[in-house]
This record gives sequence, C-alpha cells and structure tokens, in this order.
Amino acid sequence: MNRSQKYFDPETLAAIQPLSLRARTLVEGLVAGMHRSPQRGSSAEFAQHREYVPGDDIRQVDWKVFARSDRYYLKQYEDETNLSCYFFVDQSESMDFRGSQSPLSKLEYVQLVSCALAYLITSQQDQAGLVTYSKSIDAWLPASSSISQFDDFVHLFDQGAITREGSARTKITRTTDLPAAVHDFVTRLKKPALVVICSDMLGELVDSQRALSLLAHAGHDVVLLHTLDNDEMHFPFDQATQFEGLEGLPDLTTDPRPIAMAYRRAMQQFQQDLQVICRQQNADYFLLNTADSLARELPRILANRRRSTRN
Amino acid sequence: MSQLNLLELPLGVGFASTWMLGWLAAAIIPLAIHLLLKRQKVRIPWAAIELLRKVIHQESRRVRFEQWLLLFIRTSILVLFGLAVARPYWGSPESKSGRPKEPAKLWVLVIDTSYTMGYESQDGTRLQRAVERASELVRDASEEDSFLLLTLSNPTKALISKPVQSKERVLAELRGIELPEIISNIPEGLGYVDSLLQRVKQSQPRKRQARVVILSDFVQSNWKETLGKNKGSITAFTARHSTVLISFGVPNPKNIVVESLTCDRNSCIAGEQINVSASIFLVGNSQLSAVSVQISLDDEQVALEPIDLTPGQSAQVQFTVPIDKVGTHVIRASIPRDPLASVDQLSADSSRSMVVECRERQRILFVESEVNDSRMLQLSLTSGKPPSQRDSYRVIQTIELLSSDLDQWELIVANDLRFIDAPLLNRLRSYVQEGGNLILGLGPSTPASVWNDGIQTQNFLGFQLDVPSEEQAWAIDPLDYESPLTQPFRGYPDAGLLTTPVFKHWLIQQPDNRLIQDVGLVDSGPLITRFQYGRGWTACLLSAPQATNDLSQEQPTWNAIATWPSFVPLMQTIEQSFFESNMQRYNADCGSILEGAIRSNTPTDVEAILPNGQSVQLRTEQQSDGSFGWYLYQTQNAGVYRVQQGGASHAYSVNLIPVTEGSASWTDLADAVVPSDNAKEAQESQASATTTQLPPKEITSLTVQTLLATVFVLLLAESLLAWGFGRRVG
Repeated sequence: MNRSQKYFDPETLAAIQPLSLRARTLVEGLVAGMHRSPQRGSSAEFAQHREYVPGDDIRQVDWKVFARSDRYYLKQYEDETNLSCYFFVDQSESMDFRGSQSPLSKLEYVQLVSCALAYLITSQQDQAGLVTYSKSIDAWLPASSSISQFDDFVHLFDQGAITREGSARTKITRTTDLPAAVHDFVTRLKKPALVVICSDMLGELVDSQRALSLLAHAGHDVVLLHTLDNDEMHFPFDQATQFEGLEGLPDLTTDPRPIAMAYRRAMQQFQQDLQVICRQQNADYFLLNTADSLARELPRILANRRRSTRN
Repeated sequence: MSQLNLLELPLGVGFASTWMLGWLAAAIIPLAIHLLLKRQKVRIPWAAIELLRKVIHQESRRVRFEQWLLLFIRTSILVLFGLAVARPYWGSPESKSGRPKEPAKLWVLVIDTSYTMGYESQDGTRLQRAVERASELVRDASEEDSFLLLTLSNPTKALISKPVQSKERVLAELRGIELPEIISNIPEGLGYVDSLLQRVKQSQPRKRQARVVILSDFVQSNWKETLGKNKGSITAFTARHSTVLISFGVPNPKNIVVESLTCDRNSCIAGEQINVSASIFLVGNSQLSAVSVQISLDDEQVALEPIDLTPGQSAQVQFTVPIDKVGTHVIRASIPRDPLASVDQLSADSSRSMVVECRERQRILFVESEVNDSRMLQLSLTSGKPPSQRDSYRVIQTIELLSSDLDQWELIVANDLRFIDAPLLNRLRSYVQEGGNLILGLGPSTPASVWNDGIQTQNFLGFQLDVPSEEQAWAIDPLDYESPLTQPFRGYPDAGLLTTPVFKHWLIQQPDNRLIQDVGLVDSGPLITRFQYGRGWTACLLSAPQATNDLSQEQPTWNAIATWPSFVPLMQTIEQSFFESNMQRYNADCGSILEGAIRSNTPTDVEAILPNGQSVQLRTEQQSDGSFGWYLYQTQNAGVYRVQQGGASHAYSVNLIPVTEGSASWTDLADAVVPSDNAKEAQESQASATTTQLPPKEITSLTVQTLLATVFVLLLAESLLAWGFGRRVG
C-alpha cells in the first residue's frame, strides 16, 4: 500500500471522525480523473451526426449535410458541464449492519463513497445531489456544482445520523420502500440525471426491478452500488446463532454450519439476479464489500463507468 | 459359564464382561453435546434475514436428515464400542446346541490364612486384598449360585460347610476372617476341601458344578510340595475340580525375621547366667545396617545390639542374661518396628520369646538297695558345682519309697534296685506320670520279671527287659551324636565316651515307638534310653553303674562306667535334659495345644490370659488315672500365654514358625499361580478350560472383532459425511 492508498483503507477511515474529515481524507487520496459528459447539448464541440426522426428539433438539422446528401441529419455536440448526478442513499435499518470483519457499517461505507464521488464531480464543475431514503425519501439535496456542496453532503448525512439515533431511541422501525422513493424522485426531478443507488437491495427483487425500471423510463442513467457486508456474503458462523431480524422482521435461530453453503449459493444467486435486472434496465452494477479497501473499489467504479459511457 | 462376569440375556445373547456395558452410557454424549451447543447460541443482528429464512426453509429437510444421520452414526459408534468391550457372545446353550441350561455354580472360596498373608502394602494386607477380591466375586455371582467358604490354615476350617445362597451371609463371614500366626498345612487343607466337596456332592440332590477359588500368597516354603516344578498334588486336585489360583504375593517382599531364639539352657539355678542366641534373617534385596535387636527379660530391656543384615542370610547375635529371681521368666528377642516400617512389611515374625525357669536349687532323691550303692551317682551329679548351687539330695532305701513324699523331689535316681515290687513300681510310675524325673540303673540285681510283670500295663520305661547280654567288651555307638546327651562329646573322640568299658547289659524287647535311644552298643541294643511318660521322664542305663569297689564274686562286673571320665558329663547331661525337656512344654509353636496338670484331684478353675489380654476359662478333662488336666487350644497367635490356677501363674511362650520367603521362591511357582491383578481374566480363562458349557472363545473374539471393525467403518463414515455436509468447512 503506497502512501496515498492508506487513505482508502476502511480501517484507517473508520478511525477518523467526523464524516467530513473522513471523506476529505478519502478524496485527498483520489486521483482526479476527467470524464466526458454523456449529455449531448449545444456546446461548440461536435460529437456526431444522427438521422432525423419526427419530433426532433429542426434547429439541430445540419443543413450542409442535407445539401450534400439530400438527407436530414441532426448535428450533436459534446456537453462537458451540465452533468447532474444524484446519489440515492438507502438509510434503512439494514444498512446499519456491520459484520465482525468490517470496520464500517454498510451505510458508513456508502456515505464515504458518495462523498468522495460527489467531491470529484463538483471539482469538475459538474452537479452532484443527494437523496436519502428509507420507506420514502428522507432528505433531498438538489444537485449543485457549488464548492460547498461537499459540506452539504456531510451535513445531510450527519442530520440523517441524528434522525436514525432518534428512531433507534424511540424504537421506530426504519423499513425500506425503494419503488416508492424512486417514484417520488422521478416525479420531482424532470431533468434526466445520473442516479447512483447506494443500497444493499435486500428487499424483494420485484421491487428492485420496478424501481430501476421507473428510473430508466424517466431517462435517468442508473448506477447501482450494491453494498454488502463481508459476513452477509460469506456467512462465516460456526455455532448456533439467533439472527435478529432488522426492519421489523422476526428473529431466526439456526445452526449456521449446515446451511452455510446453501446460503452462499443463495446470496450469489441474488447478486446475479440483480445484475440481470440492471442489465435489462441498462444500469451499471457494482458490488461493494465493506471489508474491501476503497483504494480498489473506487478506481474500479470510475474505470468501469468511464468505459460504459464510451460504449 | 461363569456368572461372575457374564450376563446372559434372553434370545441367546450374553456378555462376558458385564461391567463393561457401562460404556453404553456414553451413547448419550453426542445427544448431550447437541443439546448443549443448541443452548449456547449467540445473538447477531442480521440484515439478510429474509434470504436466510428462504435458505432455511429450502434446506430444513436436508439439514434435519443430516443431523439425525450424524447423531445416529455417532451414537452407534459409542454403543457398538460399549458392546465390543463387554465381549458379547451369541448362542445360549439352549438355542445353539440344544443342551440343557447351565446349572448354578457352587463356589468354593478357599482363603489362605497363613500368617504371611499379613504382609502389608499400600493396599492393605494380603489377607485384606484377598477378602476384598473374594467379596467382589460373591457380589458378581449369580443369585442362583451357592457358596462354601474355608480358611486354609492348620487345621483348615470350613466357615461355611454347607452350600448357602445368601450372599450376605458369605460376605459377613468374609469380613470376620482373622489372621492367626500359623502356617497353613496345604496338603491337609486341599485334602479337606476335596473331602468336603465329596460330601456336598453326595448330599446335594441338585448337581451343581463346583468352582474352587484359592486365594493365597503362595509362599514357596509352604506351597512348594503342592505347586512345585512337577505341580505336586495340585494336578490331581485340579483334575477333579475346576480350580482358579489367585496370588496376592509379591516377588520381592521386605521383611526382617527373628528366625530363632535359643538359650544354652532353659532351666537354671538362681544367680546363673543364661546365654541367649538370636538369629535374624533379612528378606529383601538391599542390605541393612545397624538394625537394633532388643533382648528383654520379663518385658524389661536387658540388651540392645545393632547388627548388619544381608539379604537372604541369617545374622547371629548373642547375649548373656543373668537371672536371679526364682520362677519362670520370659526372654524376648525383637526388632523395634517403628523405624523399620518401610523395610519390614510383616510385623508378626519380628519377635520371638522363650520361657526359662530359675530354680533355687535342684532336689534329688537317691534310692539304693545297699548302703553306698548310689555314692558314685551322688558324686557325679554334684561335682563341679559351686557350693551354693549344689543340689540338695537325700538317700533312702528302696522300702522307704512307699512312705516318702516323692513330690518334693525333682529327680529320683534308683540304681539296680533289688527289692522292688508292684506297689513300689506303681509309686514310681505315678511320680513320673505327674511330672517327676527318674534315672534308673538296670544291672545284675534288677529282677526283670518284676519289672516286666509290674509294668505290663504301666510301661513307663518304654520297653520290656529281655535277658542280659553276653559278656564281652561292647563298643559304644554314639548314634551320630544326635542326642543332647552325646552332643558334648561331639568332636572329642578322646573324651572317654567311646572307650567307656561295658561288658554286659540288659537287652530290651517291645520298645515303644517314642523310646529315645541316646547311646547304643555296636552290634547290640541301646545302652541309655529316655522315655516320656505322662508329664515326666525316665532315663535308663541298661548297664547299671557299679557304685562300689567292694564287688562280690556273685555279682560279676558288668561295666566300669562309674570310674570312666565320661560318667560325670553323661549323668549331668541326663539330669539337665530332664529339666530342658520339662521346660519344652512351656515353649510351643502357634497352633499347638498347651496342656497341664491340675494339682488337686477335683476340677478347679483354670484361667488363661491370652497375648491380646483376653481372659478365657480353660477346659479341664479327667485323665484315665482319675487326675485332671487343663487344655488350651486358642494358641493361634504368638506371644506369652499365662495360665493361672489356684493363685499360681505360669507363663507359656508361643512362637510362630518363621518363613523366610525370598524373591527367588517365585520362579518355581510362576507358571502355576495367577497374579491377583489378572485374576478376573484368569478366572475366565481357567473356567474356559474346565467348563464345557462356556461360550466358545472364538465366537466371542469374532464378534468383538466384527463390532470393532464396524466402529472403525462408522468413524470413517462419520468423518466423510461431516466433511461432506459442511461441518469441516470453516
């Protein structure tokens, strides 16, 4: 691990408080990367020609091409500045889970990831926004390219933490309803954006499919950061265990050893099913293990995302 | 089949080692572990609870099946192992061979109570271990079995002489067994067991198979005739009875034995000294130095001598004990036990005692037919003694025998009595019978017919007179100097005994079996004899010493004994032998009967104080002559017994017969005796060899092997299945 990469180590980050300092520490280690805007707009830099279809704005017709070929083509340009990215962060009870081998809970992990990515986005004058949800949208931070947007992210997450502590004290169950939150989101946000869903997606697959479908139909570019704890993935228990259900679900008592293999298989199947759904909805899928170093995970997300946008 | 270790179940299944079935209890261990682990659960909050619920729902049937399968295999492993070590067998006599059901057993428990069974170890004495083993055997026996119980001793005793089925009775008798300090008479004991079994078999309408179990330490000196290299009489015994020998001996015992205690005399005159010699024997492997030997007189220490002891050898230690007080005294040689507890495992033989008598002076009555007949005899018996110790004596004529109080004399010397008749003879006989001592010279004046007729029914000489021998120079035969009378002459051929001039002597006929011939004549009969009659002794010189020099021509010279150098020592040793012999009855071996006379003609109370302080009233019996005597039979323990009658007390010393068992003694017996550690197996194997109805050993062995092989296969299967089911995956 080189000097910069130590900032991505979850254990190192877990030792840093508060979140603002933790997130800044993370981004300091990031290598800033440029990306090209997927939005085609009216900027000066030409991107490509596309054949005209009824309904297209005739102002974008390239008349010079029409003169040469007698066919209607639209002229498209690269738009480098108007990327709007919303981080759709799950704040339900299940995201508070932290396994024995992970220094951070799933929520803490995705908070770091979203803060780091937001910092990168705003530093490139793109817009970053934040939506936290559980049963519905809990908080909304409109997208902005302001330099203070990073601080707003941190502030909102801190507010969410206070809210969660209050819920815990009053024993109010924080359940998840992704489709409802997404529906609310697409209703309120008309302009297409890049939506980064940060969740363990441990609900019904049908709900996940419906939510992704809603976003796709609304024209949003979707990236799913499927965040799981190492214990959830590998089920390393070796003695009789009472598993306490979160989000109001009943407890389960079992001997984990005989079912460990079956559980791992079921978990892999669940991830594969999510990947299929993402592929169907033209969404990017990234699996995050909270025990893994962010030095490996963040570049992987950025690199893969850059590749998919070029394609 | 032995009910000792075997359990037979219905359907022809039995177990050769019932107690091993306790392993079956281990079968609950897997279930207990399963339940224990279930209780020791941890609590974990879990997000993917729905996914887990689906998995459990899908896998529950498989998991339950796997758990039950593994539990079954693990339990089966332990159950089969328990069955294997219990040595099962198949096929009862009824189901397999059609033979009738095996009859109940008759257990004949024979426990050796030789004093060597008192050897102590950390586990207690040998006897305690033997009793414990016998009790174990009784408790394990079938309820239908019956028992006989004997203690192998001298004599062997039947504590239970008729078969009993009550285990409580047998156990109670076993607990009550005490250890006498005697050595068992093994051949006699086995003979008794044999005869008892014969009687039981004849009287028992229901035939029972007898099983003899002998529990002993098999001390070589006691058992070698029975169990020696050629197996002796035990072979015939075991041929008749199914027998198991269980040994409680150890190869290398450690013991210090006071092997013997001897005095140069056991009767002395007040003021004399007695020379005491003790022989100490060390049994063991290592040498001991400065072992104290204590000599005490009447329980007061008079000497303490340290000696070095070498294993397997005797060491002699000698003391001089002065005795001034008239009466009987107890001299004891002992090894103080406390410092030697670790090297002296047997305390019973660490002490020996002896009763000696101290008299004020000897009282001798000389009877003569002619004046001065006994002059030479008087001189011989009083010469060489200091004036203060000279015997007090009196000389009377033959006829005075009728009126004299003979009881005040310890010794009567009558030489060649001419005027003797039946009343006089009867007087002398009574005197001897009641404990008096008589030296009788038989010479030319002795009327043989009177003696023979008079003593026909009162033979207190031990023979009848025949005729005088031919006149010639008879040569003395010392008879290998075995007699105490001739022992002073051993090694001194010039001392005069062999050249004693004897020309004529009485020949004897019809000698009694108990007649002691001390000195003989070559090619002729005895010259000096001794005979115990009643409690007294008679010594006869068959050629009466010529007492005077004034010999008439009618009485030819029979000898010149009285003038010869051997005469004085011969007469004095005869005198001493009487007192020695009289004192011998005060020193006896354990187990022998002590007896004595009651002075009055009516039975009086005679009481004995045993060595343990217990007081017992002695049995008195009337003799054939009308007098009364007492008898003490309870002499099983060594020590000093004091008999009191009419205010007088007399000490009797009873000693055990020492056994100097060495480690080498085991080599001869090893192949015949079973060490107690392996006794159970030995009982089974011996029973197998002698009982046709036992399950064949091969079947038991095959079954055990099969079960163990199955256990191995199940262990393998359990490991593979547990691994396959994911239990070996971390």
